[in-house]
Amino acid sequence: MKQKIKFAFHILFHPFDGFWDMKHERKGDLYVSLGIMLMVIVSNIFSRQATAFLFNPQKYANLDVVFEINKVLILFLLFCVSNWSITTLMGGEGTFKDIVMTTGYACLPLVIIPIPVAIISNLSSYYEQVYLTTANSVATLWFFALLFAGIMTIHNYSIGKMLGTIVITLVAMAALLFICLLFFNLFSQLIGFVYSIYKEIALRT
Amino acid sequence: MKKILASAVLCLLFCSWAFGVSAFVPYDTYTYSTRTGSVEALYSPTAYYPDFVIDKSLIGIPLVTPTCICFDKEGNMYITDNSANRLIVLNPDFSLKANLDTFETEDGMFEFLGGPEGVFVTDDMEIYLCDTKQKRILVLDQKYNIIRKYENIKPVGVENDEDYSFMPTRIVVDSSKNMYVLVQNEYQGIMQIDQNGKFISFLGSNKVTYDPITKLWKKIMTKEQKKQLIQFLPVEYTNLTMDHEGFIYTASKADNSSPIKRLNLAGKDVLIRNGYVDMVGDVKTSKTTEKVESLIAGVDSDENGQVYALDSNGGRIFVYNSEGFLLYAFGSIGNQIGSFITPSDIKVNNGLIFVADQGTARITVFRRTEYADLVTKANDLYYKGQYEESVNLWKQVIERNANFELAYAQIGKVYLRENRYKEAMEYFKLGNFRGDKITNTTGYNKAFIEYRRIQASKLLGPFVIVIVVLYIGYSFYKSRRKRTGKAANLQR
Repeated sequence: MKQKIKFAFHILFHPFDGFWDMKHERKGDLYVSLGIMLMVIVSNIFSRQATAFLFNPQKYANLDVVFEINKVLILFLLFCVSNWSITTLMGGEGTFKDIVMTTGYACLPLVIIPIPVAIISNLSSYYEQVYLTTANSVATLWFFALLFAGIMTIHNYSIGKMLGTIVITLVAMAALLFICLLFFNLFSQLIGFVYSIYKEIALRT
Repeated sequence: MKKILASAVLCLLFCSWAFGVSAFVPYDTYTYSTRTGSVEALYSPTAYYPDFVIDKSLIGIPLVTPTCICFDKEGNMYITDNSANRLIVLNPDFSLKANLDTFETEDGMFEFLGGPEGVFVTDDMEIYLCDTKQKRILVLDQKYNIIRKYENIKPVGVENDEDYSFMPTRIVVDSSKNMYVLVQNEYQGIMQIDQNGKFISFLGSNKVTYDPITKLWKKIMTKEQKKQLIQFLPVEYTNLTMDHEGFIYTASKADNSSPIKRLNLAGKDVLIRNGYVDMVGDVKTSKTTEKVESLIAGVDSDENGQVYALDSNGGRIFVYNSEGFLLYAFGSIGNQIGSFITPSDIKVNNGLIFVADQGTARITVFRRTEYADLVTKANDLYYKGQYEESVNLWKQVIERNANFELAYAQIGKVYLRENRYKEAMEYFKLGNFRGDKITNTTGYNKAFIEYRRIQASKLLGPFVIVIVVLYIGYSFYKSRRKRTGKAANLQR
């Protein structure tokens, strides 16, 4: 177990090597990567609640845990599904499990940086704000770089093809989201329709 | 038994009397809160109640369409009645002083008014009257005789334009008798006219506002197409008044960014806007779904620098303090006393708010409740520098309205001044007042920096001692280990 967690940190600094090993040497672990995803949710909630008053306009707003979970989970699923569906068509070598694991491991900077930043923010004034925002943007950039390197490695893509795939993946994500919303909307209307028919009959008889 | 019954009836009576004050107010009073990170409108205690109305039953003659109110320094009230073509003058006790529809000139002729829309009285009691439809400004003396007339004044550039019509709607006059006139269909700004009736310049022209899509289209379109486009004109001013320091407050409709302006005599906007929300009347909250937009039809300020803005769209009155913090908002559209249909002007005198409404043909007079009295007093004391007294009053305000963020922020500011940093931080937090990022003169940030400095200097001594002790202990332990190690080596 310790080895597996250590491997996640190894990927942080050696993404190409690391993701190659993850796929081909079977060093990665699905549960560790899902655990990292879980930690992303925790760290999001933590930094929302624990960031100092000065930098946190929503400090005293109500926290919607379900919404916080959904925010991460939906994006995660959306990305994995659409990336998988695109890359299977475009000769990617990665399986769905690989994509899920890569995304999970790539999220590690979003856990290890924002949590200390949130704690340190309690000791900072506006003068130190620039360091905090820099740290957080480093986390985001790092995450994207890891994701990029990981997806590229597991599918064995060149950079040009990778960039193209990313664009198409984003389009696919939007399309998927649209279809989901449409489906939910239609479904809720259908339910409403059936319910109103039931009500009509129940009240008439 | 009888006693109980009697006391019960009395109690009921008392209750109805106690609730009566709030019962006949046809609107909710509210302020905006930003505590949760998004703007929310929260109920506040009733700040003003309609005290009485000025209409036929009070002054004996009907008001038809009151457009403009003005007070002179003695407290006499001047009302222009637009469609009845007359000027009504009331005594300070609101009894009729004069009902004027004809005016005598110096050479004994009589003049009539044509749809007068604006009136202003200077400190030396000259009455300036905008005779809108007859395209002139009349100046009356205290006996209401015409002493001067300004007719058909044209700005530079259109002197020879026969079609140009000078239709003044509102006027203010400064101490050197320069007139500042709003003219119908004049988009270039406020006309500044000197004592001799000569045009000087335009003051504070509003900027043209495009939406971004139109801007994009304009880039693509050819010259011919551009010509066919509707002409985009700057937003027209709707009202203006002069405050006690000689600045001109203006109101303009349909200007999202700054419908309320305070212009100095160079035409620069010097209004302080430090408030939690923009000074635009109603703002979008997290709960409203449709767009709310106030149309500021009138604005006035009192001797404490509080700004009173009238919103003709929602029939509301917004009261801001001199730094631009919203104190309370109230009012509604309707026929009841206290509501308006098409309000056109607002003036403040002796703490009373006067709102002229053309739709209901009356002037409603609002009086402060105990709550608003407290807020005003606390606010006033704070800006006069009597901080300790103001803290007590703000605390009383909080007892009545715990949602009022400004009260917490002001208490925090006082505590910060008194170097009570911890309490200041507490109150700034409650008041959601972080302070300016650049100037760093007040607010939570400032209090926090000071508090942190003190805590750090307190902790620094023990911290250094602990570090030194740890270091000495560690090196001692190390040398001991080295020696024993050596000894072990030697032994081997």
